[in-house]
Amino acid sequence: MRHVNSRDAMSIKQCLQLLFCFAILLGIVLNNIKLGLDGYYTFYYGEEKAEENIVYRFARYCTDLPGCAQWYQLTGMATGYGFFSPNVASDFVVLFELKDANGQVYKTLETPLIQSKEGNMRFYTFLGVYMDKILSKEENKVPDKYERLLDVMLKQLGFYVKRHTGAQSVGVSLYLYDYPSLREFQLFKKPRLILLQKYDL
Amino acid sequence: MKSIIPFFFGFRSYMGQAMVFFRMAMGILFSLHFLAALPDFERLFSTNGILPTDILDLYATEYIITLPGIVSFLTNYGISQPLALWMFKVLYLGLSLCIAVGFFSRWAAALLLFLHAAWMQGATLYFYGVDYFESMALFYLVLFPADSAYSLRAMIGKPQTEAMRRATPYFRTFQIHVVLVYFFSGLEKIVGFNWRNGESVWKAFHLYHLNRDFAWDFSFISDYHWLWVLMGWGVVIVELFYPVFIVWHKSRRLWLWATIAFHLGIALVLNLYFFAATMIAWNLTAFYFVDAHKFGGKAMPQASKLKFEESI
Repeated sequence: MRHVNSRDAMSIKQCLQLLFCFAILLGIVLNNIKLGLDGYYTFYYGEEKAEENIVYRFARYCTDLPGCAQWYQLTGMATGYGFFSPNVASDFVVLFELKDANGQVYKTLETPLIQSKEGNMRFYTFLGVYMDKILSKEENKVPDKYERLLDVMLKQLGFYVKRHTGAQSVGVSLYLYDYPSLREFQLFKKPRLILLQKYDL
Repeated sequence: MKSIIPFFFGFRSYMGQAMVFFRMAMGILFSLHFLAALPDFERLFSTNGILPTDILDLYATEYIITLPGIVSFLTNYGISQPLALWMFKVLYLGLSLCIAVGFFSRWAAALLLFLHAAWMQGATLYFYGVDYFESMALFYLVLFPADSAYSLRAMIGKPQTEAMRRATPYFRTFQIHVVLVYFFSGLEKIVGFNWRNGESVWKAFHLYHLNRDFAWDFSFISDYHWLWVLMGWGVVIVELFYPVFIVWHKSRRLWLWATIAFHLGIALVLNLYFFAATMIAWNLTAFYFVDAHKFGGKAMPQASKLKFEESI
């Protein structure tokens, strides 16, 4: 085993290696500072407040430099590590009601005919995009065009189910799953589904 | 600076073992994770899927090639979409296996990283935490010469053991990366009051789409509020103090098992099996082999350890 100490002269190649390693680590730190502060301010104060923080602005400036987005996406380093933080986001539920010629519901599905567990996981991950719909309702922040895109995607799911089940019509409903907090649970509050959008296709 | 250079360039034999383990573990996980979603592949990722690919494409990052882009390119040359997707699947699985068995794993990882990124960018809304960790793992597998030993390449060709020593700075970067993952995760949790009062653990355990396989019922401990507070703080402490206690040799063993136990809990309760397995593989790679002899000395056969030390 060869030990290296600081008296060994570093070759140019080693210097470049070290610089590359530092660049990787700096990229990770800056991205997590940006995403962490973003999550913190959004949770407590609203997104605009983050702009007042100079550290956030600096991290965002660095991570928005040309080529950085591509680097982060290619290497997977685009993700922040604050899973489930600072708060656990609520789940969304989509129900597909298959109807016969009389408009009677004869079957209800929770996914658009997905068969595998991992496929379900991917579908549920997709539903997280509807958090933007909540923001749109609460703070009027989401542009109309984007909200329309979210609605188009919901309808597309319904059309897919209709096409592949032979149902006469399909009702697609998007719900927010509201589970009671610990304190509410002790007061016997029950979980509920809050309707956000419904289409009959 | 005096300590930085030996830290980044001083090769230790355990690093070779760890890189080989990482290659095998991640190669197997890439294959299994890909196979797990295969029954729904067309439903999720083809133009005839539940969401048209041109809608999903709106979320792609500019200047990165996407899977629909590759498919559309191939259709210009008379290759149908089903055939193009079939080629993608075969190539993805083949490259994963090349990594697992150590057949030119760096080249396989580079090509798979490109395919994985194209796959993710083509439908980014379907991808979650584990997919990003897989991308990062592929990135490190491009940097690690992990097919230098215990590999098909080493069996049929010349051992490339010198390369492993040159990759020491990348292995150190990987170790620091793992430390940063937990530190930031803990930091972001401690600022959320719901992690400090136990509500976040309660909510995570009761998310609609998780905890389905075993459907654990936690209502019987809902009255013990202190228990939820304890679990919340437990997660925060394990993550936030990871950099301190995983580096300090006296507590490394305890902290490594605590972190692995935490991920096993994620697998059992939240049913995020691939995420949990990936994170356990990352932890073992980064810190198990550092003092594997303290864990019973059976981490790798002694002969292989000698092989590393003699040849490098």
